[in-house]
Amino acid sequence: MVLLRSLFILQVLVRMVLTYNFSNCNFASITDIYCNIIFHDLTGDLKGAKFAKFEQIEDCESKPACLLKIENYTLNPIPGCPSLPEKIFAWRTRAALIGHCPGYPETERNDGTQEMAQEVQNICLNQTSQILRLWYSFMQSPE
Amino acid sequence: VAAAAAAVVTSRGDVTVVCHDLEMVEVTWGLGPNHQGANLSLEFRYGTGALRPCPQYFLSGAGVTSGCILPAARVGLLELALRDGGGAMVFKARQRASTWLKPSPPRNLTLLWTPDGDVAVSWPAHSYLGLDYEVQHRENSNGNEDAWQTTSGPCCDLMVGGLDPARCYDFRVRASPRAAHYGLEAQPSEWTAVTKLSGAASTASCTASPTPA
Repeated sequence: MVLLRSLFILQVLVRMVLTYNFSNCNFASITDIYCNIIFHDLTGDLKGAKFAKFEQIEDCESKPACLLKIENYTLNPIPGCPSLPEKIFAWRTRAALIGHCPGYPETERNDGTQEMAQEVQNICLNQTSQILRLWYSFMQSPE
Repeated sequence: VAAAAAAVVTSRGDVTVVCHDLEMVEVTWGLGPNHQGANLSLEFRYGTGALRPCPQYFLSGAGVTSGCILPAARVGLLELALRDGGGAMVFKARQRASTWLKPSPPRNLTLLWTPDGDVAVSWPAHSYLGLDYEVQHRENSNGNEDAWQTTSGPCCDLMVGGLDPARCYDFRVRASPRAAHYGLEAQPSEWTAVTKLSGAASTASCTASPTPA
């Protein structure tokens, strides 16, 4: 258990040091995938939720900076919503980054620790809302 | 003033936020029973700076506030905090101002018959991206109006085919923010005023028609 936790912390630390630089991504291709697929996945997941009630936590002002935050919110499990990286929009986001960001690491992510096992729907909806609004900022930002 | 399409419903009544053309943000309240007679005050900020008071309130006939106009920024999160006379929060939001975008209508519509008998419709671009445009047309000869037909496309022109060069038509356009670009709370602009297109051959038959708004 302790070993697992240490490994997880180590992985997070390594990630922080080796943060991928998204400035060489093919933004046009990623935009197409987002507009035609991922946007509909995200709004589908939020369907019925009054997601206007979730205040936005972060903004971003360039396409690389927005992709960095989108990737961070989408592919790292959080307490209360361990399943987030397994959702279909997250798989497709990862596939889009692998396909259109040269050198983007294809390694699998940690699925979350025992402390994260409890899933709270409102936490997943809030996180999904944060991700969708970061995509809006990506769309409105210069390269 | 109220734009129902962008209404954000809170448990304390309706507050409407509209960001006009990414230039100013209009917040209105006081239309529901919960706010009548209460003098509400609005504070706002972009990012994490200090909260600022509303720079320009709307006042109702009774002298109580009914809305506020504040500047729009194209980036950064706009935080809105609406409080009642006792300081209790009535409405709170934190989004980009563009979340509530309502563009201005395109300003100058140009209509041109092509040699092929199509009509080329064009208009000037807005100063920002992420808009689609809806072009509507209907036959309007001697005041007999057909139903509107809609064609959509990106900036800043499109072709409408299948028209009769011997007849007269009405055209109008509006700008519609793309949902994937601005979100589901943004709303289309108003329609432009109707522009009349005379038949390619004759103009006389169009002049008797009324001018709808």
